[in-house]
Amino acid sequence: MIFTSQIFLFWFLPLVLGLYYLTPKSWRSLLLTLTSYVFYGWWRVDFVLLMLLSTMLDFYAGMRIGRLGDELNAAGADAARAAALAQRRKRWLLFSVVANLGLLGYFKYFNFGVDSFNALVANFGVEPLEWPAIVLPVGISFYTFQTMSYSIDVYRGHARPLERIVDFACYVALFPQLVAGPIVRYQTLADQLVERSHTFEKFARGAFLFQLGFLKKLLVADSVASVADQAFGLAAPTLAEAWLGSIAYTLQIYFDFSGYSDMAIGLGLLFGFEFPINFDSPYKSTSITEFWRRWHISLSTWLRDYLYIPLGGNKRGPARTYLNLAATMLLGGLWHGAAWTFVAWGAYQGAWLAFERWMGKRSLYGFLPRLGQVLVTMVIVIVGWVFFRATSLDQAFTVLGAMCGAGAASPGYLSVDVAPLSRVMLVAAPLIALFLPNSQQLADAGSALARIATAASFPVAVCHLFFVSYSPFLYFQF
Amino acid sequence: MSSSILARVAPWASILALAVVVIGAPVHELAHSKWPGAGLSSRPRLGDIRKGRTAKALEASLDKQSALTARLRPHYNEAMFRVLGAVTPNVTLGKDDNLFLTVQVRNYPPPQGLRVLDTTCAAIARVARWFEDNGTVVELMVIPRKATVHPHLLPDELQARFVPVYPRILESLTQAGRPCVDLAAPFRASSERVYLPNDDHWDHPGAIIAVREIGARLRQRFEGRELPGTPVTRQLVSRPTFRFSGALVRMLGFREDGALLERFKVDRTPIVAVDSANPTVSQLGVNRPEPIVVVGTSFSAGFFTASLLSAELGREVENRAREGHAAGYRIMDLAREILLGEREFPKVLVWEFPEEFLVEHVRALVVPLDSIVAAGKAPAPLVSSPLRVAARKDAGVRITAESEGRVEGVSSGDASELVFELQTPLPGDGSLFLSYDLHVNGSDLHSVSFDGGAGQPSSAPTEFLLLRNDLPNRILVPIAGPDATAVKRVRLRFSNALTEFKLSPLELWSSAADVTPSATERATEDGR
Repeated sequence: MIFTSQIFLFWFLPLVLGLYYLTPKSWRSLLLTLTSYVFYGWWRVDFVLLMLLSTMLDFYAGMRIGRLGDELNAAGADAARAAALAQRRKRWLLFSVVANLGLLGYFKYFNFGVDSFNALVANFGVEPLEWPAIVLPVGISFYTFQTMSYSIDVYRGHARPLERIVDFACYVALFPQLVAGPIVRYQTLADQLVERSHTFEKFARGAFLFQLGFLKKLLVADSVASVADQAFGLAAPTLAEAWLGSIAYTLQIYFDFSGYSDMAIGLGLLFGFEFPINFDSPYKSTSITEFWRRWHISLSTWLRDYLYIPLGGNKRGPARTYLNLAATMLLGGLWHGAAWTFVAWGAYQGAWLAFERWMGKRSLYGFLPRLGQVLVTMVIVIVGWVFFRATSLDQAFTVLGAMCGAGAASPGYLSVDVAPLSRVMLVAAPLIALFLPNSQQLADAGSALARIATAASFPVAVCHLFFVSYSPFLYFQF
Repeated sequence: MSSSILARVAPWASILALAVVVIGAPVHELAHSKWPGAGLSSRPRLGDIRKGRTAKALEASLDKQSALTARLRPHYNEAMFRVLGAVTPNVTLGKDDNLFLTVQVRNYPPPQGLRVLDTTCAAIARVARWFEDNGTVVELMVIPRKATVHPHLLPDELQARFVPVYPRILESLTQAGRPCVDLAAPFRASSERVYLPNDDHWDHPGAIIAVREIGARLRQRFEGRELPGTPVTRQLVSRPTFRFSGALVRMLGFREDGALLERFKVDRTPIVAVDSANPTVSQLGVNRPEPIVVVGTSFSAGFFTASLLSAELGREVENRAREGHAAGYRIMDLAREILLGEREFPKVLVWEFPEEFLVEHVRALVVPLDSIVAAGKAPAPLVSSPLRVAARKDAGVRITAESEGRVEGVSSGDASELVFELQTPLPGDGSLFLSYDLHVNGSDLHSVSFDGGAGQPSSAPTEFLLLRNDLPNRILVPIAGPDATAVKRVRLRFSNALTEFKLSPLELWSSAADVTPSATERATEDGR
């Protein structure tokens, strides 16, 4: 089920909202859990069982880690017992991490591994391995990272383990952010799972963010998507087509994903949850380092806290810092999808981050006026999105070559059809992304004008929904 | 003061807008008896629920049947048209309110279009030759699309990209030995409105020009000999002018009583054929077998084209054209009757195609046409008999109705297929033919393959592009096992998810000279 569908908007959401506020507080988590399973099972019921398995494993691991932690605290001066308990805690953590990464690895990377192996051995005339294609459960990358964060947070003592499995199941399955984030870390949500407030202002803010996200997805992202799709579908794009397609995709991915995040955060607020911000005007960044502080914040901070810092962060000298940055971004790239294009994208981002770190956290073009820095950063980001969007490295290099003028000669017209609404959005969207406050800023400032304009536009956008075909969010594939 | 009022109103506005949608919409739907599940045609099965198929079907039925959509869409379409000058991507607005099917003017021809042209033209030529070898005079009528004749009516940006395909078609058909009349030149020269501005079809003047050109060509080919057939007894008359909204303007989805729809309507004065014995009934050719036959699409099925041709030739014309159902399948219907000895070859065959069919409908053309040619090589008339099936295995298919060999169901995915185990093996050398009618709603790609039983290699699948409309696709395919080995199983596959289908009983066509039992015995020997 997607947020921009009739079944969600007209049936699922009103029903769940109504039931939620009619249900006694102590039963609300259970209600949300069950309805979240319905939401998730809409794709495939059997994958709900997989999520249940992941939930039970991590709940049990968290419980064990928590109890062993209590025993460890009580062990006091008994060093031998403390060491044994610490060892057991670590094993439970390892169990949780291996189980989660195992599930993720099997469902997300097994096909990629087999395909890469077959491509490699084909050069030596070896028969390829035959393996039935494994279907990727929607949102597995997101919920496995969340369940891992639970075990790690409990292990680190940043949070207490939950006592009721229903609260934990609610945390894992919570439908507003289940399939495409934001990745809500356990310590952020721990208290809210047990007790959360419901206020008029919170509800109104949630409604506003949900509507704004809906507009961003349906009117902006989907309008420019057709331009990107056509341009990336060309076998030999011209310079103009390659740039047009790349810019369109740059806009699409931002408005699609940030639109989804706004809707998720908004829905969370409707049910009393406060999720962290996921986008902070990333295209206003003046460097790639800044870009990664503003783009998909929940993932970048997750990678920072659970991967980069455990790898040593910046505490082990410059060379190791660069290596850690590159490795973190490489794995971040691979997290998005099992393909060499994502690996290349991660490597590209990692290389820029390492380079800027070497420059002293400054960009190469820091001498330019701010707008110049923003535009150069934007170009670097656009180049990166080419790897992200391309279906193969060959295609990525074809598009990049065309962007450098090595593409097809221009016949004097564009082979990409830009519909009237797309034209409007191709002009308006960059201006919105570069110069207007972002959704959170508008929500925080309580901008009355923005809220009223959004509220007035929302029913119009819903009418647009009747007109467009099924269009899932881009990040559902990850 | 005013800003504080706004600040107070704003949160309420957000909540009100949400409430209007999430409460108003379901209430409206329920008031019109539209609720989730109401559109499902049958009770869901556990396997379908487990794999999310039921949810998808439910969602699709909701979207399709939404009362709110039906109510709001025309208003929304009109608003979009007024603001942006466009509504559906399927229709392109040209100059002077001329509408074009987008697929025929943007990125046309399709990438492989010109490359496949020689293939489609050669396949048409092979079938035409089969008819001519059996005494039929075949005249091809390839109708240029509106943009071919009037490129100046396209929007400026598309005029710059206009690729003339029609001359290439004429050239390709000439190379294949089937030159056909060039209709584009007389259409351009006409002072009358040849094409409807709000439709992708011609108007009567277009049909009149076309039948005159065809008539002149046929008289030339008969070189003064009398044309065959029954002298025509009907008259052409004009009916009163009326306001007409074409197919393309209907695709824009405006309100039925709205001003925008009216803007696109045009005046038409229909020319109809009237039987003097029954003057109130308009005639579109005749349905009984006649020596002069027209096979074609909506251009010939409607617009009284067959009647105009009758008038032009002074002979009755058998109208076998059907709307939306041309390509290979209509000629297959005629060929079927001939191949099974149910009728004679016609004396004259006027075979009509719209230009775009030759570059877009490759698999709907070439595969059926080649099957006709293969069956036409049989040493004697063919005989149809039921294909005797011992068992059927279904994979990824839900059967909804079944009786006397007729099967209806829904296929669900890539591996959806019906596998028929034959009672006795058949020779797989291509001397026998499998035939059936298939009606689909959903998928457009269908394939047939043969094998010698479980675990045996399968023949390369023969793929058919099916047409989705109210008429069945008539499939004819030579029974050919891998390396001409005996065939024990027939495998019918549906390529896309969620295809509703209706399958007729399978027929075995064999040459009357080749007695089927002995052929079967031969295959049984091979099978051993």
